[in-house]
Amino acid sequence: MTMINKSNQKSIEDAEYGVDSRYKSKKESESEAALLMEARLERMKNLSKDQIIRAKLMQLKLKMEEYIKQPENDTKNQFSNFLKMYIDTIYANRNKFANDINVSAIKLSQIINNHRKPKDDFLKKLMIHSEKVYKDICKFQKETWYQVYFQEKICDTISSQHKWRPRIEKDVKISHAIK
Amino acid sequence: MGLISLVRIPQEWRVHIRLLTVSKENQGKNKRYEKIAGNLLTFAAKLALSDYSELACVSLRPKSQIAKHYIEKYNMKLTGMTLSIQIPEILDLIKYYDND
Repeated sequence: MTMINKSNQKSIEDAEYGVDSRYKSKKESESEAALLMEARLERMKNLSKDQIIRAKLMQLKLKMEEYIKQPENDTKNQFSNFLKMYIDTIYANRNKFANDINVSAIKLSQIINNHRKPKDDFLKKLMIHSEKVYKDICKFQKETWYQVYFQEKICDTISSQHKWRPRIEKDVKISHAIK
Repeated sequence: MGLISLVRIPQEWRVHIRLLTVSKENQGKNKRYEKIAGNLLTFAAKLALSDYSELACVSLRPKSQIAKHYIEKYNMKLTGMTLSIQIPEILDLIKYYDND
């Protein structure tokens, strides 16, 4: 039977409440980094294709969540970039994805290359496809793709105000002033 | 509830935890919330995964007495004095704390 003295028990409790994890010196940090990298590379050799796909899909989910949270973002075509990442992680050929969601390969290509906006049906199919794919990987909110799409639309509209506002503003008047 | 200090090390696809601490009211028998350390560790894991995908790694260097706790509870691996977690264990950690 393992005897745990009071001091050891306290250490275990403390471990859960905090850890000062700074290296004592640059030298220690560097030698530990080298050792760690060697061990990690060795462990990475055992990663299966499936584990890599799971990691990429979880990364994509985190990136989409980060994007949705940002109030403003100048990155263009984020929806299609995420869509490309999603398809290319799972499929060796994009046409297979098009086939799986019953969309023509040409339509899919146009959406990916920003020559066509995705219609509501496309977004719904994508939502259902993602639900199924992520089911055993991690929590995936149904609305994510919609949120990414509309977030991009909002960001684009707001950031391009200087282009559309002068023309549109001419058509807007307040006939009934609120006092 | 808790505080974490991290350093991103992109050239090593790693996030190193410098400090991790849980507030006083969440320590001991009468703590208000559980699993704060685990959630902070998961936060670091998400940052690493978001930046480095399948190469992601989270590391920390605890005192030797408490290393065992992190190995047993969070499935971390010990190399020299450094504990680390990488894929696939990072995925399990995130899945567990996201669903908890």
